[in-house]
Amino acid sequence: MMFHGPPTIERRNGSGPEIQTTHVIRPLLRLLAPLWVMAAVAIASICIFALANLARPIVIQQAIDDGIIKGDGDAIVVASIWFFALGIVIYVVQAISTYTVTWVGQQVLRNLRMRLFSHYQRLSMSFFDKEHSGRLVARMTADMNALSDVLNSGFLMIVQALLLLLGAIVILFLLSWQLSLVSLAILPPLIIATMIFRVYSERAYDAVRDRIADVMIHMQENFAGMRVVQAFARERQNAEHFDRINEHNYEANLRTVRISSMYIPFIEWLGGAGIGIILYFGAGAVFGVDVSVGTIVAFIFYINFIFQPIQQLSQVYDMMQSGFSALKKIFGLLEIEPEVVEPKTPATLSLPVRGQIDLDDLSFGYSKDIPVIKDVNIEIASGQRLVLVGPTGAGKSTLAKLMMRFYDPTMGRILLDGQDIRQFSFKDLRRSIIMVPQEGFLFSGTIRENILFGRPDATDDEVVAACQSLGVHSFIEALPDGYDTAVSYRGSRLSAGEKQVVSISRAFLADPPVLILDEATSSMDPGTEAIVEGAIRRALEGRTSIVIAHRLSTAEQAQRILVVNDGRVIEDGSHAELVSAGGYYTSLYERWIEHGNAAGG
Amino acid sequence: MDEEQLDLKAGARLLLNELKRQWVSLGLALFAALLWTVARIAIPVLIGITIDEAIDLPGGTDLDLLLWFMLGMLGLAALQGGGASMRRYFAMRTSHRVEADIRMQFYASISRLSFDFYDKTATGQLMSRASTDVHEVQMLTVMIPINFAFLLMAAGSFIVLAFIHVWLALLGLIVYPMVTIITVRFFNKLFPATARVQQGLGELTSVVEENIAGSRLVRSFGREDHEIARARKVADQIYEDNMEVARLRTTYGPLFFLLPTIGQLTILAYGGWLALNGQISAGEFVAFFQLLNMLIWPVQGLGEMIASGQRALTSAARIWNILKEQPTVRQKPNARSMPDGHGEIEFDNVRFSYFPGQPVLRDFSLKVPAGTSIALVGPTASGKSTVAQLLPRFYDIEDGSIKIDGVDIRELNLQELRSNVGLVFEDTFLFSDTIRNNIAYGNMDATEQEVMKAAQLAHAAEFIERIPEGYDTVVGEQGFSLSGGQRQRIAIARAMLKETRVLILDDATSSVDAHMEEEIRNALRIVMEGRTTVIISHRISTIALADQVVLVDQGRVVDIGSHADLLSSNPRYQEVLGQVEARV
Repeated sequence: MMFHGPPTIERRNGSGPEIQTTHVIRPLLRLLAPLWVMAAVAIASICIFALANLARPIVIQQAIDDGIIKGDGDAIVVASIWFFALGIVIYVVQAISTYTVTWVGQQVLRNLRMRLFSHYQRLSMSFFDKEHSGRLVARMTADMNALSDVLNSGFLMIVQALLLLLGAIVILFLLSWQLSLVSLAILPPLIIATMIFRVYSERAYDAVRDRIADVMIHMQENFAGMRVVQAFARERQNAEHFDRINEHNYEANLRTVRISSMYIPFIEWLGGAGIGIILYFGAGAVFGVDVSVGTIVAFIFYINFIFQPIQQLSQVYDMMQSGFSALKKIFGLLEIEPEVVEPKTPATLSLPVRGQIDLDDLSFGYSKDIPVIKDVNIEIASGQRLVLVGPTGAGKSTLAKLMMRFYDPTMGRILLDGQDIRQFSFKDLRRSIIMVPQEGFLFSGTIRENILFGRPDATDDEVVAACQSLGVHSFIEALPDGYDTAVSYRGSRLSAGEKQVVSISRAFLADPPVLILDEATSSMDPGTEAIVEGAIRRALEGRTSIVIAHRLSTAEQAQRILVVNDGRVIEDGSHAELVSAGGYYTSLYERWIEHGNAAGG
Repeated sequence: MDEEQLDLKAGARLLLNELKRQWVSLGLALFAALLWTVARIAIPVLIGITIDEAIDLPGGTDLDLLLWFMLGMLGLAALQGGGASMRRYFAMRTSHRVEADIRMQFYASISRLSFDFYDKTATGQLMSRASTDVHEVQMLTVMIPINFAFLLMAAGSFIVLAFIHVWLALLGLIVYPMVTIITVRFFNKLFPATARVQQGLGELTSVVEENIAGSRLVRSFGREDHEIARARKVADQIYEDNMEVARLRTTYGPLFFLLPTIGQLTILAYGGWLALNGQISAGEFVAFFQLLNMLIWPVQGLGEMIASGQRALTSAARIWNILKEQPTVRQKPNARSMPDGHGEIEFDNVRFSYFPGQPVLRDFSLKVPAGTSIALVGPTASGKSTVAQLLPRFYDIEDGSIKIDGVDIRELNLQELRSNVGLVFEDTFLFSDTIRNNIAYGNMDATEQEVMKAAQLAHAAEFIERIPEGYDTVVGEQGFSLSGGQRQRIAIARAMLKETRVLILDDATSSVDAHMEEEIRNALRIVMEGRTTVIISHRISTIALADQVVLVDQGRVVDIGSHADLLSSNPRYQEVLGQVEARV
């Protein structure tokens, strides 16, 4: 297929997890099992379709030989009735097969899509860290489409082509085996030419796909980055560059045509040659066998039944191959088990949650040999406000993620109100502890919908109340459509700071007993940040909170500060204590003062 | 661009002009189509003649004549093959040439347009025109020669058959135009349905992308079931739309078979009766049958082309709507080159708005002596970034003037002006190219040493050298993914390498951490030497680099002074920098 449709700027994806061919059949059959009635109807209708088509030339043969040549009017009437009946049968079974094949295919696809999507929801964060997101999306898009091609047309074409091909050969031999042998002499060159053509044209089409991808990538980038292009006055050079890419695409397209320009005349000539052979050897009684005029005409029809299926099969071959490899990738992915699993019988979490958290001899690494958290012990009392500071990569965010149970520790444990968090259901745990990440992530929808993500059953008033308590209500109201401003995960016009405002509001609406803020205000402009930080401080009064700070102004007013470095807690105390301790925090503080940050106010 | 006006006539004109330019290639394709048609029609006729003149004889087969006929058949087959091949080659050549030309025109035309166009047009909109719409036009173009052949074939077949027996020809062929009409209707219904399927697949893709990108958030809030329900809704919709397509195919597909069958049945019954009565020969009967069989495909093809032509015209009109756009910022006919100087900037009573009636800058006046630096500070949407966008003349102002070294920028050669203003944007855009080429983006003639020096100054060299392929690493959407801070450092290096009089840093250090910012600041200090620099930032440490601070609020200059002066004297300044907690 040529490249068209919405521009997907993605070249072929890597193979990903794959499994044995034989392991594909069984899950595939399991998917098909509940649909077996329709599947059987589909296959039966395809078979009848092929048989009825194969019968038509025989009817014509009878009409010519028994009717026209012998001059028997009844034979023509009989043949006409047969021809009409076959036409009706073909009409009906074609309708049935078209509908049922699509029905079965679409059922399978819908079920498989939902299975894969639900599976993504079960997998742990470690999986998403390792897997390239583009590849996971490709499983759902490119691979499902490849499968869809097979299910919707590939399968039907293969069965039909095979039945017609084999049926035609059998009938030819029954009509006249001598003539069959001679006329089928065109088959070997046809098959060989088709195979050679496939190889070269596949290569040429691969090149076209790469070239058109180049064109699309270049355009996408230049249209998106046109401001930079013009800022650097690069319009002319880029246009020259694009001209080259565009011409390469044109050349690649012409190459595919040149290849088919050699194949097509050969095939068409072979078709003509086949008819010539049939006429000459059939009618010429070369073998001493008298072949009737009707038989010759039937032969000409049957030769067509052989020509088309062979070309179709070669087309479907590639489709089947990519469909099969797509299936392998999809099932391979479905076999991966989540690393963080919910307990089968979760412990009950006694309400209200007090929010006492203990990290007990905690160690963890994203990969086995590189520890990120090294034997950390922290006790966080219920209602305590804790600030984590430390250099980038020290492990602050990792500690937060472990508390959320995005990962399980390699050693040690985390207790919430005295119980290991691994004993709770995900629902209970994640209702109790919520983390606001640095990146303010927005789902497509409105601002209101994004805030409601925190607690879907909240009323509009509660949404407004949550935003008011954060001091961002007037800020959101000032956006073009206020709370109904449309946003999306990509291409949203909100700034990073504005996204963070929505992201914190979302967590405030959810109102969890324990709140973790991971540099959650870092991108706001200083004016807004000062407002939000003040509001957060007041709102978190009496609630357990862990704030990962990017600025020392945040730390200044905390009850307790932990300095994290290289996976360990190296300092622990209040701001005043740590400033006078003469350690890491002290030097951090001094450098900050030096740049005049504490001035004013 | 909602509710776009489509000028189909302009679309048709665009298409015809393109075809006119390819007339040689198109003409050859049409000539080849003619040869192909002649052979296609001649073969069934020859079969009929062979049966009558050489086979179905009272005295048995005439072998000599049969051999001649067979050689004739091979000759016709060769003509058919050659014609098909030549027709296809020139048809594809024409259509891909048209495709490449339109795409190039489209690209060049977009490159000329000004920033206001990009503000109102989404990249996706442009891409869908450059891919789907251009593809539609190509599809129509490639179909022209074969459909020309199909028309000839239908007309030729009718003439040949009418010579044999007029009534049989009429009765046998009467259903065929119906096939064409039904095909047009089928494709006109099918196309919106398949477009809905495509749209559904697109939606599913964004749901999955979003879900994976937000997987942490989904888990944080325990919203897995909600996400599954969201995906199910889209998956169900895709299923429904696909079944709608299936229903259309089920309704129409078998008709394309049944109608020709009725024609063939006429030949079989009426033709058979005529043959019995000796009004037509057995060979003529066979020729009739073969020709009718051969026409099934062409009559469908014609319908498909008519439907495709309707879509292609719409597509061409959509492309035309972009091609006709004119840039709002235009260079004067006899623009002058840059005056001598070192980058003195003067804004004099500038008024500007992105949308009429909503001025962003009003009476904005500011003078920056050559070689000095200023920092623009102000709340969000105060107009600071707009100032940065006006200096390289990305937009034209409504009133007042902007001068560089004493000359109004509207008098200057646009390319020269932009080459003399360096800009580091708030959101860093890198191209899918090597790091080296990205750094050298504004100065292609830069040497390897110059690129590396710029990278070192911007503190980019340290991480670039740690990546396995170093400066040859391909970055951008398709390539190696860099952190925000890394991208920003490359963008700074890129601006450093460009020898400019004026340098604008629009929130250029916003995504690097405090420690890194300190180091980049030192680099900036070096680069700023001798260049007029405009800094836009919220970071006090970055602001402190500038000689003067300008407080901008609601599109006006409110106060000018050193950072320390403003901080101690101006409460609004303190508020903007978050040094006091503002009233809610």
